[in-house]
Amino acid sequence: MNPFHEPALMIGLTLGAYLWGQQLFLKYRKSWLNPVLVAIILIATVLQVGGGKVEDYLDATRALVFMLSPTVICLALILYEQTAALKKKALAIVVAVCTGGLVNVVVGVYLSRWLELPEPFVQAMSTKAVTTPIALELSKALGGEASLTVAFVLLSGIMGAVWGLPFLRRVGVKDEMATGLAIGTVSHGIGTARVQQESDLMAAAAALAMALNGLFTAFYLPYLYFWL
Amino acid sequence: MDVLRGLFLIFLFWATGETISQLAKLPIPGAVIGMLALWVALQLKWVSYATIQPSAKGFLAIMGVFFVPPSLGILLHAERMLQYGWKLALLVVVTSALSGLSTILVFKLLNR
Repeated sequence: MNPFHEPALMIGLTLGAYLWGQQLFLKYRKSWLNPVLVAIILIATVLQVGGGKVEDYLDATRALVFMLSPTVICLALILYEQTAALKKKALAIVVAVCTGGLVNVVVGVYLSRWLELPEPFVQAMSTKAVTTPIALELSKALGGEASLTVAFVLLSGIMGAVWGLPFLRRVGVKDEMATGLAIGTVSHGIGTARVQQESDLMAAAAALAMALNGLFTAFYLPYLYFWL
Repeated sequence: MDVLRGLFLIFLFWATGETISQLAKLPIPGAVIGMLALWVALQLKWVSYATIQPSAKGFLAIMGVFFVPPSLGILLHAERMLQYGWKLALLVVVTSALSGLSTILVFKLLNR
């Protein structure tokens, strides 16, 4: 039996690692003790020590990843709870998120070309701020590499979820809605999961920013990319 | 009872979003369309908040877990990414910071 290919074991390991990460975070309140990050490191260590293959682990945990889509549907609930607050600032929210998304794409593409990264990396940079399924669709349209695209999306999500809040606090941003919008624009679902622990308003702003940035980018990127 | 009803509604909206996404050949995933559709349905009181709340809160509470397996997929590209190590780190940090700050700046400017 290959333990790294057993759904019960691998899903159990994932839940346990995440739970441990969450407890560490609640106890020490350090941003870098993000449960997603703690779980990744722990599981990677287990795979490394036990000689397990990442491919086997990914295959065994497919059921867990399947749950991501219904969870996105559930974000509607947070949006609904904060509709009144969001409606009042609708125009500012839409323009701000679209600008932030555009900055990410344009700066990302030019900077990565300037640093002479290979083309698949440049493409992955352009879609790194949108939620995974949208990034996959865009990667197809741009002729990019699907799994590299996903790797960049998650890297960007984890970094934003771990260091986004401390960074914004350091530069003096106090507005909850603005913080949520920035986190959602840059680090989509992972960031949204993180700010749920801060406040409902921040979580709603992040969920909306994730959806808006995804929608907006999906419409313009296939045309814009070939201009850049 | 309510958990089942909530689950049914969540999957119903996912299915609806998926159908729209595929029929209209949109690049937008079904789940995102479903989320926006459910938000509208809650506004219009077609779906009651109380019915969907118990199931939805359950999903949301453990949202982060679902990102763990795909994130381990990064390891499959670790070697290639480490080749450009500092460049990639710099890129992700700089673009994320600029993007987040421009979002906040525009939001603040328009809100004055």
